[in-house]
Amino acid sequence: MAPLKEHIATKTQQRSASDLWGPAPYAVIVVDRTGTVRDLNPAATSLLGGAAPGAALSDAAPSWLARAHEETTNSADRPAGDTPVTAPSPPVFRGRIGARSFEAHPAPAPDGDGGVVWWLVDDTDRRLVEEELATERERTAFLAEASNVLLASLNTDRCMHVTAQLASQYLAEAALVIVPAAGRKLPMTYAVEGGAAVRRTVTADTALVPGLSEALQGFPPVPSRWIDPASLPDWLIPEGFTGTVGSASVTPLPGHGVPAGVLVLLRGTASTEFSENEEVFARLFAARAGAALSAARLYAEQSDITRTLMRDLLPPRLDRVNGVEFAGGYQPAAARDRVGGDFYDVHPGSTPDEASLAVLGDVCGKGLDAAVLTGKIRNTLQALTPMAGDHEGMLRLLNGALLNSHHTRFATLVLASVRREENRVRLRLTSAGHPAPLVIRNDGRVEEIDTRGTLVGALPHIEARTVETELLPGETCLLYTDGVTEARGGPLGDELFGEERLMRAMAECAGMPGAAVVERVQMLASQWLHDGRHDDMALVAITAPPTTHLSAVNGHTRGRYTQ
Amino acid sequence: MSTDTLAAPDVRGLQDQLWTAVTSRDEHAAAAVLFTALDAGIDPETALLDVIAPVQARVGTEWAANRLSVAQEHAASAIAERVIAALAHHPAVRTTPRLGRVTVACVDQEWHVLPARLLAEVLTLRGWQVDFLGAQVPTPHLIGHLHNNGADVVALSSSIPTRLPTAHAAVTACQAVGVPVLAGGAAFGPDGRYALRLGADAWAPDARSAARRLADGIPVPVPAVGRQQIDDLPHLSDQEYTLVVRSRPQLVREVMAQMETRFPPAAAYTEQQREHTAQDIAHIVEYLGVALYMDDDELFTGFLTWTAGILEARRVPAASLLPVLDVLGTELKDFPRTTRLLGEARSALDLLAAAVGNNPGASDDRSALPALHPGS
Amino acid sequence: MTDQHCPPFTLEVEAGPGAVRLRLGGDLDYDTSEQLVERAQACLAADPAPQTLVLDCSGLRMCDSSGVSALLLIHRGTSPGGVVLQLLNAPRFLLRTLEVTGIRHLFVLDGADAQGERAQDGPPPVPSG
Repeated sequence: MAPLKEHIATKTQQRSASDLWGPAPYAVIVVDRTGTVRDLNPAATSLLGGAAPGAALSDAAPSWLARAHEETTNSADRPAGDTPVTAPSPPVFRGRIGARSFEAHPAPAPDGDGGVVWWLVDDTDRRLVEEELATERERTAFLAEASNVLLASLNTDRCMHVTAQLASQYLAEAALVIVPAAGRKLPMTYAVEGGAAVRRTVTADTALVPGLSEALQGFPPVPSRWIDPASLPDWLIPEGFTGTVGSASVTPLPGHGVPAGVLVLLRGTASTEFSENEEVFARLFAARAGAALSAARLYAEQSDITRTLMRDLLPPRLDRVNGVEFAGGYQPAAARDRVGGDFYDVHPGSTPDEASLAVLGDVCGKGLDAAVLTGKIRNTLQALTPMAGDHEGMLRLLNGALLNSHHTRFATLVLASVRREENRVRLRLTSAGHPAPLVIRNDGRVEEIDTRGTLVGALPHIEARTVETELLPGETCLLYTDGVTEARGGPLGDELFGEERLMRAMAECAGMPGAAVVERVQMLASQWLHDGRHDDMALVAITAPPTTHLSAVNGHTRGRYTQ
Repeated sequence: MSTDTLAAPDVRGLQDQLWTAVTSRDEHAAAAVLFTALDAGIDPETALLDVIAPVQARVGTEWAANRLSVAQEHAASAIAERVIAALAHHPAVRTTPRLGRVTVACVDQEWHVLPARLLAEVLTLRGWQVDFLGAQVPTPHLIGHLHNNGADVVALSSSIPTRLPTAHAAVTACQAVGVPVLAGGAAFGPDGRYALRLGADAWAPDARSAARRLADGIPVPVPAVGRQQIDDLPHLSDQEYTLVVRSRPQLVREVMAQMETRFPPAAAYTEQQREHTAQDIAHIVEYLGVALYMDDDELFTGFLTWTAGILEARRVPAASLLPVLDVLGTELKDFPRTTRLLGEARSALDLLAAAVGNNPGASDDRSALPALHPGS
Repeated sequence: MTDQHCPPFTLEVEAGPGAVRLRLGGDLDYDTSEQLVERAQACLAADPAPQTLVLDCSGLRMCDSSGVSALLLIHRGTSPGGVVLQLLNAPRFLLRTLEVTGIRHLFVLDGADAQGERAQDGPPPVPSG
């Protein structure tokens, strides 16, 4: 470029700048190396308010341009400046002239004496666009980050915290998230300047805050300029907000059809008021926060319902009943499901002399259908406990209650009537199509109790054989579902855990507390699976407490220890 | 918190009493030891951490030395757990939460619940609101709990290094919902190095330091969307971990098949001995897998030298492990990191064998490699 | 170095004079039992109806409670019309399941393993693959 310009300059050496650059679309000033304006085109004259040749640049133009000139002439004095061909492209200077912004591009003046021709390019519009773009990018980045953070949690408290925190960091000095009141109490969360969010409940009248009750009811937002900061009640000004509120905005957090809450933004008197643009942006943020908050609330409601429904479906915690130890263990098939087709219950005898009834069973199928059938079986059996003296009769009634002409969904189960007698435990056991109970004797033998019967719920006629046995102190009877024995895995990957392995494992458990037996079997079976897919697994251990405990059972330690 | 309550000899005495009670499976005597001490004014935290915890640790070392059976070990743990549950009802132990909310959980497949249990009790004593989720918590349950109930921090316990990949998934998932994780337990290494490598926000070697660390406050992680295991452990991209773990059953079969020629006594094994051996080999492959996951030589060599120690305690020469390494080395010769790990392990075993002195011929009646139950 | 995949469930139908034979292979479970029931019911609905429905179980690898439920449903379809429901070559684990659930008497059993002896606790079935 430089040689070309010089060539042109040489040819037109004798002509004035106004002739030469007159029609140029930019303001052009020629300044000699001492800083005196030598020439200007009309655009420059009008831009600099009638400056004329001969004036000092420092007088005629803003100081930034004078400084730029000094800098340019100084650097041109350096020896390297002799070789303009290889010189780096000259720097561009920026500054304001009046209300507008300019770029000043220096070029060597045609006098060849170290003067500079300054081309002044108005970049005001480009600057504005650039600034807008930067703001827009920042906002997009903020919204993206906000979405990430907001979507991460399905916990309503956390969503409110995050919303208040982000808003107080980017949108205003302080931010409050207020959710629709439960009664007259308003739950709210606030944060100041990106600090930790604080949760609080206030008893307050939302009508006192302009736009608040409207926003909570889903009316369109009230513009910030309509809100008189002086009228805001004290409870709306968070702790930690110093100074006076200069401006406030109230933005609804849109939810699924109903408002999820309201975002109140507060700025101090030292900050600028909310522009229309900023209010639009606050609404974009609020839309994301509202969606996250609504999703969290929906999740909470759903899981509340599920929890309530499941409370009755989950197996109970077992403990000591009438001098007999009961321990249970349950692992549903998939990590996500908590209820499945396996179940157990212990119905305590109404007096210590009356037998308790333990039930463990397995309902065919899975999912909701299985859970519903499980519930039905457990309820029916509970109702039938008065006739627990006759297991077979009980099973017949249960079978009748379950029969259904449309399907053959059945259950298998074991009934165990359990009664403490002196230091022993008497058991009456009946299997209805279920794997036989196992008893670990104190000498390490594992006995399979020979009770057999038909599964219930699929056939019109069933049979069952009840077997009686006795546990000595320390001995355990284990009821289990086939999820344990049918666990597929092992070191070679595709073997069943199987009854033989179960019995071997139990032989090692002689004399162990029931809870430890259950835990050991669960552990071995799940290690056998090695993260593989499995069916539900349920276990109940019925243990005669060891003799050493006997003295204490009726002693003074019992109350606080066995509760 | 406990320094002014009991002199060391008193604590020692209580430990001995409790040891006698748990090893004779006398639950009531065990409870009585602690209730009496609490009635006499012992600090509950001291009871938990200086009486129960050391006795449990002793149960573990005695089992490793083959002086306690599996059944005794389980019974002792079960008794300890019931005693801790009973302690919660003692008037000296009742507290009202005034600090934040902590979820204490063991990683999935982690059955060793006691350290987490003790931590939960200590934190409750110190005024935290604690949700104790217990042993082997599937990660989806843990995250569901966090969504439902919220938590300021999750204390995640794992004692077995083979659970580190699962622990990693749990750490990442908690952080993705904006809850920081404090990791603890033997799995994370004696200095917590594995906790750090898996991106845990904090680590503590024991319950007291965990409580202190929580009291100091753990910053909330910024949910990094899309952070995946490979971001923390870029070496996983070589697929060695994946391939070794997925071919575990085939590797076990191959080692079993070649054992008989390389280790002649194996040919005469009973069915049960073969199964024990297969389980032990599977366990070695599992440790190889996790060492590949963490890219950590020490994890594998440490496990093998520990195993060698267990074997020696049961009169089995540690040299019986060498054929296993040899076959694995041949099968996996194309995998550079695996080859390095196997080589390191072999050198460590050679050193050990030289130190112990070779004792060929002596053998346990079960198998060359008795089952080393990972959860015990 | 490849994963072991479960063999898929297979079902082949061979219709002969008076008898239909269904050859079962793989896992009879929650995901596959409905397929068996539908096929069996279709065979029973044929005109003329077969006198015997044979389920050849030699290729069966596993049968869970859904599988048992399917067998019961098929039985419900055969018993009113007096159709004989025969389980051919029932593997040991299936016999054991029928025994434990108390429904062995519903089926005519035939084949090497089904010689009336009660299935003992044997080692778990080791698949050939």
